[in-house]
Amino acid sequence: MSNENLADMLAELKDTSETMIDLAYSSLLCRSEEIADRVIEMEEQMDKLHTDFELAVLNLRETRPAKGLLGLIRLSIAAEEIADAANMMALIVKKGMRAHPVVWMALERADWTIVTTEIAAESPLAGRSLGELGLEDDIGMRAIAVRRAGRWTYNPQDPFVLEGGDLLVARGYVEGRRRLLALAKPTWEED
Amino acid sequence: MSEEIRYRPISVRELLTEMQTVIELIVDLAYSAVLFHDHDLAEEVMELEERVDNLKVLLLMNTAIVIRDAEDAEAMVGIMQMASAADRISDAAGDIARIVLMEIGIDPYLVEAFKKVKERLVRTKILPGSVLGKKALEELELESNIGVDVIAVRREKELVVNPEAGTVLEEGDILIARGSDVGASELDKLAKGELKTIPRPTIEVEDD
Repeated sequence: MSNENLADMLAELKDTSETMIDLAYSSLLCRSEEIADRVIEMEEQMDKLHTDFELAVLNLRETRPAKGLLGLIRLSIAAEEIADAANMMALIVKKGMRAHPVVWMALERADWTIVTTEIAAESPLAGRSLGELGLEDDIGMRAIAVRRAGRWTYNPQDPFVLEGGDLLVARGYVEGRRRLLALAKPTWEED
Repeated sequence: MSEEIRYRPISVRELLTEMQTVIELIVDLAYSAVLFHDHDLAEEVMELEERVDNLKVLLLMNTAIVIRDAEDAEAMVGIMQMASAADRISDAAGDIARIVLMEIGIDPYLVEAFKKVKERLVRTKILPGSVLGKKALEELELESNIGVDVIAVRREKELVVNPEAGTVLEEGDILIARGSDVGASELDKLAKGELKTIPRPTIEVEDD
């Protein structure tokens, strides 16, 4: 196990835990069991990732100072805790707990928000890559997941090309929300 | 918990909104603190962790007080679950910050690896005499000049995430910003008054 792999694994632990929080909020906001299911699935991946990472760290015990390795172990435990908490939020949706309407009002009013929208075939977003679109620079919205024909891609990168019919989950500041919805031309009930 | 928390009526919606905003920021801060071994960021995490603790208690009090029957209880359980999840997230962020504050750190090789690829967060306080004091964010043009984006401003207990362009900075404000390693250190120097003018962007684009 090289150090480079270890850095990649750590980045994945971090990114997965962050994406899970975003998706968990989004499952609540959209009252979507489907997105909640993805969070629960990611929690299982996270368990495996966490174990692999800790083993990789322990394998370095002969060659690297113990203190820095302890820090890595603690960091991965915390990432796992964050993932568990995201899972807890997703379970609110899954278990059909009647979340009070105030929850949605609060989530919609926070400084940042999550938008889930289907991309219409004639949308200017369809057929273009995320890199080309530069949504993050232009309207401050970052794609966190895309569903296409029942399959999910998390953290899609610049070369990822959006298509009509994709379900896009994006996060960003509230101002970007309306603009993204307009670009995707979805059938959306404005609030 | 350092201060005693007493019941005061606050809308559950406001509490949840603030909690969500803080949670978003605290996770980002915690990871950046440990990956860049940054004490200032870690301190801010501890500050926010305490805030989430307080918010949770206030939220539970304000929820509990309206529950009169089984139906109310059912409607409120989702909110309580949200509050617990937010609390766990902020505790985990606190654990990450403590890796830095207890000087455990993570393996130096990884700190180097992340410096190369990642943008970082920086937290700095505007000291007397800084060129940032009494200026609006839009005047400073920090994004185009030094490539840092101010994502939050804290004034005492008041936290503003994603401050508007017209926000006027004051001495004593805590700035939290995202940018390159170089930009982050320039912002820190500007806030401390070690740098008296805002650097202009050079033609050369930094490559990572």
